[in-house]
Amino acid sequence: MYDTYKDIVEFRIVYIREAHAADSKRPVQYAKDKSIFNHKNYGERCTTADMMMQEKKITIPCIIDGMDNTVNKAYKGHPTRAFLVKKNGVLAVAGKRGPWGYKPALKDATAWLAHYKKTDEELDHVKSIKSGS
Amino acid sequence: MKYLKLFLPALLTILFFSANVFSQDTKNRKERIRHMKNEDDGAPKVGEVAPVIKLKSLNGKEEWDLASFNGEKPVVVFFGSYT
Repeated sequence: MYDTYKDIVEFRIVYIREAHAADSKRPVQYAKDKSIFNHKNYGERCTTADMMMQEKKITIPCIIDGMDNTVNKAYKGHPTRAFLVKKNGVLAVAGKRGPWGYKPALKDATAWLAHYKKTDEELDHVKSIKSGS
Repeated sequence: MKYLKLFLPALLTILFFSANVFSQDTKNRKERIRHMKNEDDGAPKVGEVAPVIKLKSLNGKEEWDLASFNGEKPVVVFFGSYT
């Protein structure tokens, strides 16, 4: 998606607090293996984000949520979620909480972007593509 | 044979209760996931104005402001972490 639309759309990953850190209630094994703990300060958060970007070879630019988790709280982004914002600042796609809500949101965003690239029209929501209105 | 007669019912009882506990646990988990999928957790919705995002880039050199793209470009934002 990023490679296809990056010229006409801005993309960002908002790196937020860890979902399954080694010292969390539901740690994942690789968090233990790689010693990924809940961040104690902003520097630690940046270091883990950098590790994520390098190891997962992510090319989408990344911005880091503050230790007060302001943006995460405003968007209820934890553990993962996706949004598409129109030029007027209004949401056209607002995914449900991941991991279950993530793939449907990506599908909607892809449909929205394909329509936008083809017609230059910003739809209010993806249902309007499906219904043809 | 004598021991088998003694332990077999006990073993079957344990297996029966374990299966019940496992089944209940799976049911609870499925119920929890269904609830999480459908709940309104107060996240921004389609048609609402996107909340402010004004954060520093990973290298710390730039401040990225969602509002700066108003009238310029649509923006796709992904939230996530390593784990």
